[in-house]
Amino acid sequence: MKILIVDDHSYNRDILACILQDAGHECLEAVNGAEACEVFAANSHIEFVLMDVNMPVMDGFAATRSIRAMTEENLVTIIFVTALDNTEVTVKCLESGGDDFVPKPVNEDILLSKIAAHQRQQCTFNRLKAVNQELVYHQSLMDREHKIVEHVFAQGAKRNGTYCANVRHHSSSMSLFNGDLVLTAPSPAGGVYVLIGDFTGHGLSAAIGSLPVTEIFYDYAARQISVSQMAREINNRLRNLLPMGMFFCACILSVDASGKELFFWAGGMNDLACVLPGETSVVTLCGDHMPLGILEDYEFNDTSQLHNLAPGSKIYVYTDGINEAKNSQGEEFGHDAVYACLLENPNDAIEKITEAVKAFEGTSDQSDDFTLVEVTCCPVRHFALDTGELVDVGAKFRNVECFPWGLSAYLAADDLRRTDAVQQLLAFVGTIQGVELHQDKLFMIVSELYSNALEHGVLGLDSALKDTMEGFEEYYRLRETRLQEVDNHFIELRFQYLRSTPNQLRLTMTDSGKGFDVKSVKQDIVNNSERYGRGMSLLQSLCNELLYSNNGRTVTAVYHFS
Amino acid sequence: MSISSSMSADGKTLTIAVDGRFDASSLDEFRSCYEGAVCESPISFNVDLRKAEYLDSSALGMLLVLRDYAGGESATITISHCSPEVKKIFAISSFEKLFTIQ
Repeated sequence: MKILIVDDHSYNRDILACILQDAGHECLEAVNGAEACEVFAANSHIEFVLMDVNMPVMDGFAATRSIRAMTEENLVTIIFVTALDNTEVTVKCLESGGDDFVPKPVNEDILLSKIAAHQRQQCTFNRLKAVNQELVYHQSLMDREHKIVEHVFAQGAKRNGTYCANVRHHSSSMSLFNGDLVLTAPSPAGGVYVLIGDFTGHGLSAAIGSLPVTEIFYDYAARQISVSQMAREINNRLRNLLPMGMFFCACILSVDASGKELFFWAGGMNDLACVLPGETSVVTLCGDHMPLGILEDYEFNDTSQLHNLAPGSKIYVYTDGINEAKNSQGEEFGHDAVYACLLENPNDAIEKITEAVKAFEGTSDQSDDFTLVEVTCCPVRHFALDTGELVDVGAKFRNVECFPWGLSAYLAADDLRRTDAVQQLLAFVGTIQGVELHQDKLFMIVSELYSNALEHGVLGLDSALKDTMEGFEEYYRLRETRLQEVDNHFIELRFQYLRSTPNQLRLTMTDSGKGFDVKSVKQDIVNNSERYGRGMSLLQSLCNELLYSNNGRTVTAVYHFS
Repeated sequence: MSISSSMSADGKTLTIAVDGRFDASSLDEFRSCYEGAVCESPISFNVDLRKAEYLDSSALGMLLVLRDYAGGESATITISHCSPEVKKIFAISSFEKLFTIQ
């Protein structure tokens, strides 16, 4: 070890040097404080300094302070060698930066054992320092990776070049790495798509799962594809990609250009909270699906809900970081507090809830691990990110003129057993100019009519079965069995594009089933019976005309391209 | 936090009892509980959450992994003694469709 001996008496220096060199140390010498500083500055790796107190030119205290100032950390150990043993000197030694004392005259054993003890401390310190350096390195590596991921997502979000004035949200800068994801994209028809999701897990793994979701979301939104299909595709992709046990709770919604129609699919998320103008309580919409990435394609339920909302209604979607936020007593913030806050602050609910949750947790420094989105139901407006000008996102689609076309398909036996018949047909129809903007609604109509024709028509299943849990399983068991016996059955679909004002699509679907008593079912629909409830009311609100004929075996739906 | 497991007398039901927090930190302990169980004859699982204080999404993930291990659709997994809060968590993610919640 390299040791600097500082003393104005050569006799003292010689004794110390002799002891230390015998013990295998390398010694440097200085005759006063000022010289000690010079020697220390000129020689690296001096680990120990033995310092006299009283010296000419500069005393031991001043030299110790200077040497301490030269080293960033306490890398050097300074031991005072002094005959003075009063309190004042002792305190001064320590205050100036000394680590220990050795009394004069020097006892060889005490000196060497003190040096050995301090050496052990230095070893511990060096180990800690090395570990700390490694931590700092890994931290900077992680920060860099985070920046790369953030960049990728920021680029993704910019690709539309627009933002939607109807959508506001709060999410922390670290939200990506908490597994939270919020995506917004204009629909070519002028509406807006929004996805709010929460991956299991934290860190990079959660962020990685977001990538395919982002791709599918922007791609499908740009093609006006329904939220149901979006949910199904994301589910399939994640199911194949993610390890078992990792999944994605999500709510995918779309609002049409008028701001009146809300479609949504939700799995594993909190209920959507709606604040309707003039109402004094919050209306909740429950999406009761499984989170994405768990079920196989054939098990997956892509049924979405359609709600017509009064102008000015606001829809809130939030991750469980809000309702599960805990205060110092371990109590949760809860949904009721969220709802109360929404009702009290119709104009700045996002900011107010964010403040309220932080105040509730009582720790201002804690990172806010939650995401909250607000969608306002009013005519949807998109603005350019760069200029801030209003943008007509559907302009290039709306002026497209379409030739009158027709398409028919006759599905029998094996075709009926396929699970993707509607998807295939619509993928085809959706690429025809003039249809792009209406794909999502047409998909809803065709898939609803098709499953009616198949399940009630061809397979003769009674949807009343689905009312009970056992019946639900029975229904799908019967569905499977009967699908194996459809050899003489068919469903025929005819699409016809009619030029008119506005242009229209007429869809005729005929099945080989027994049909039904159109009049009695009609009565049921009018009475809004549960039995035909959701599916039929959905169809009626989407179609401009809906007519059953041929004893219930044929249905004709007319859709206006307006 | 600790997780323990015990086999029923007839050797057909493995009960895994979770005590304390049930989250990402329980991963290895939870898995080792059932991976040791030999599945020669059809076996059913019971995850006892009587003493579980807290459950997060990674716990849900672990249950899915158990379900997969136990044969996916053909698995018989009961989750027992769920508190109302825990039941709510299962309801939100529609896990009742995959597990028997008690």
